[in-house]
Amino acid sequence: MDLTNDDSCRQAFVRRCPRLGGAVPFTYCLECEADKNPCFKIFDCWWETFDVVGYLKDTLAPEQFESLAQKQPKTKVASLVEIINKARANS
Amino acid sequence: MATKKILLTEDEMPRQWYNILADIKMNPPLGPDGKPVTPDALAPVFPMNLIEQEVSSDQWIDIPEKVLSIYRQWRPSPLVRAEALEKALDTPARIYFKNEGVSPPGSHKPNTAVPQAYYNKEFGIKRITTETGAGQWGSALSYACSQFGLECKVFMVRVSFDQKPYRKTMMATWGGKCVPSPSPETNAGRSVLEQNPDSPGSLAIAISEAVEAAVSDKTGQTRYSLGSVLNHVMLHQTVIGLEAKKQLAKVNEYPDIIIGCAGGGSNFAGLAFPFVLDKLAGKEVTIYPVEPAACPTLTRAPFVYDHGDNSGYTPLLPMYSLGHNFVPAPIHAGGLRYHGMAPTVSQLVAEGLLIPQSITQLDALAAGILFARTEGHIPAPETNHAIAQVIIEAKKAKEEGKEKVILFNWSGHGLLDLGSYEKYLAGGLTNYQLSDADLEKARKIFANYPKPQIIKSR
Repeated sequence: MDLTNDDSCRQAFVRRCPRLGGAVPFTYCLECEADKNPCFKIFDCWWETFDVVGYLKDTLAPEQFESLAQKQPKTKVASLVEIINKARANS
Repeated sequence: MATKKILLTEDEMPRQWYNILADIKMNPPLGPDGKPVTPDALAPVFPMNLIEQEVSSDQWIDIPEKVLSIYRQWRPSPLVRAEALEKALDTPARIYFKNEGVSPPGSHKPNTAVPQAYYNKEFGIKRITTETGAGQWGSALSYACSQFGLECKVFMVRVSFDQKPYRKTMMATWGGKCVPSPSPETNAGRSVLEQNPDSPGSLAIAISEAVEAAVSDKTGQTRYSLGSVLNHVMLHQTVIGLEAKKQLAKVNEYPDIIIGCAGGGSNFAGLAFPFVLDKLAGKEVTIYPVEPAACPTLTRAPFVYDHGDNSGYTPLLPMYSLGHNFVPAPIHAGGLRYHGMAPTVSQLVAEGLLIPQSITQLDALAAGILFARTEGHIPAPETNHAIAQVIIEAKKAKEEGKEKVILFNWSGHGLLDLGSYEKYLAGGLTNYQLSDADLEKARKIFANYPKPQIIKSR
């Protein structure tokens, strides 16, 4: 791949999102979670393409990087209950 | 001539789903307050009959006749002997796959969408909401709702809504109303649009919209639906494995190895759980859930790389197989980075009953291409991870000279998801190392890309 070409470079940073099932740019992955946080799959999706770990270590605030790397996920049920409670409070 | 497709008659279709919760111990799901979730907490979004299934410990649950009558539109699905693939691999293994791509939406998803629509209708619900990324689940639910006269509202992540016009058309053909998320129809959506009218959306926003649309309906006649992860979804999907058992018995076969791709876990669980029942009773069978290769991390032994996580879920990936010139910067293996897997699947992995495997992007696509050129059907991108593992096992069988029986789930076709194939065939997917100059160039390009906005509570 000739990355001196802008289009090639741009294309290199677009991939199919396994969660959405369609193509997204890397910039989408950087901020698609709540509070503009990166997607929890960002390491797993991009490590085969470039040194995403190094890039995020350079780019994110230290606590944001550690939070992403160390994140203990909520269960689906817990997330759902939270969303339900928020929706009820807002409506 | 050997039989290619092993079929069941409609009368031979399973009449009950298998509930693995009867046979394994699970910690109860905890709510945000850290206490076990009660059924009432989920009642605003699910009908009580589905909540009962979610927590049931009955080993077998009857499939309602009305569900069976809709299942008959495409079930029992064929069990197919992949002889052409076997020949291409020159393997003594016998490879069988369940073709779940024959359903109206083209995947395994309606196996749960149909019963969910049924149970909602029985409960008096008139409308179901959901979110969808690329539209696979939204299509399945729209189809299922059309069979029971229910309205279906799908919040589709905006970036996918713009990319997948034919998925929207499928939903509309089945009467589903698909809107791009964020939408002006909910507080959650309006809040995002206020800050950024061009927001590409996200699954988080779409889920919030779908849940809000259900919860805020004052008539109480709207509920929400999920396509994976939850116990009742895994339960419904077991129709796949239960059929496979009967089909294999017809040709006097039993699998040595069972393989399924695992994202949320539903198609994998559907095939595997009925065989896990046998494994719990002492049967020798190896069961592999297969995922995209996760990023390597440092373990406590500094020079060993593996896919570490708290429950040892991810497999070892030796350095030499990375295929890259760079060494990924080490990160602490403190957290399970890929949540979203069904708790029952995670539990079985933790108990050692399932052995997770991982496959790289390129290997998955190469496997899909080989499958399409031998067996004819073009797989969905997720399915390719399972096929890649099948190829690994078939090659092992050749090395060992063993006639292993390999069963896998062909979870869906990829005819509406050909973008990855296009990129691969154009040579656009390679392993390469970016120079600092390339990365700097990319940073400048990033600066002009649209960025999703956060949701703010009012």
